Amino acid sequence: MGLIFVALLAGIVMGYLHLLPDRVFQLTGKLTTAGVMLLLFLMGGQMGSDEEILAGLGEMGVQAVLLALAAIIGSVLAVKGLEVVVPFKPLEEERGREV
Amino acid sequence: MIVLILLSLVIGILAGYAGLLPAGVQANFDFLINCALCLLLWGIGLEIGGNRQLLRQVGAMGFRIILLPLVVAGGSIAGTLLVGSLLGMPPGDSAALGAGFGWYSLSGVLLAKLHSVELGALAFLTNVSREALSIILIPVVARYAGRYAAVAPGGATTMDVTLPLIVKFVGPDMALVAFFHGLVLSALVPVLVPLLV
Repeated sequence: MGLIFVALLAGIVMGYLHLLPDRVFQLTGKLTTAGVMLLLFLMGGQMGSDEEILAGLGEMGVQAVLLALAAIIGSVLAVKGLEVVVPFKPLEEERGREV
Repeated sequence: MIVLILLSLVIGILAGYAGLLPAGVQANFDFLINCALCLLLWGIGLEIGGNRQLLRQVGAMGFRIILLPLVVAGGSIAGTLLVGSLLGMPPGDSAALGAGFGWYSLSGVLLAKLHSVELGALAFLTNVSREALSIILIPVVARYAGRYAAVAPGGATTMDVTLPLIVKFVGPDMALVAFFHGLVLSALVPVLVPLLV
């Protein structure tokens, strides 16, 4: 797992210091899209060749949607709670007040 | 974008199911997935580091901006813990699913490697669902729960996939808050998922 952090950090440093020619840098959006596609293709291949997972996909799908909804509702409620404790104002107003 | 990504997954599943992948690929899934992940994170790092103005502006905003992703992290994990316990799952498993924050590729791979292929698949599906449901729910939450709450559903994806939606339905002044929110949650995924599971 350490290698992943190294890759991320190397990217941030190289991006920050402009170590890459602009022409290469402009390709990073495409690079990440290609990276995600390759990753998911490989993960799909791993899942597709595992018969146990394929068998469990139906029931798993219902669980996944319920868990995702719970995470969304939980996070929205948490932000509403935070707004009660630490009132947020639109950013412009905050800046105006501090000046 | 999401269509291309889901298509890659479906093609991968079909190719794996039909046995179309070369034996060399099948024997080295873990190694190849690691290579793709490193390439991907390097590219994301380049995009973050290359945007100097963004880093500077975030620094100027102060502590309030960091509270938003932290409560979203807590709320997401609390939500999956609750529903997970109703579904009879071990608390560590359901908490780790919530800590994917919608970053399905990374949380799926992490849990497949750290725990089991099954939990990895469920993490993948849960977090794909979170992203898909966010795309539908952001306009609704923005209207009825307010501008800050509208950043919450997207989780880690508010720095890329759901950022345009937040800008459109909440306003351009939330772009930076949303990006930083996604950035913090993205950074928390590889830390919290291994800790919780």
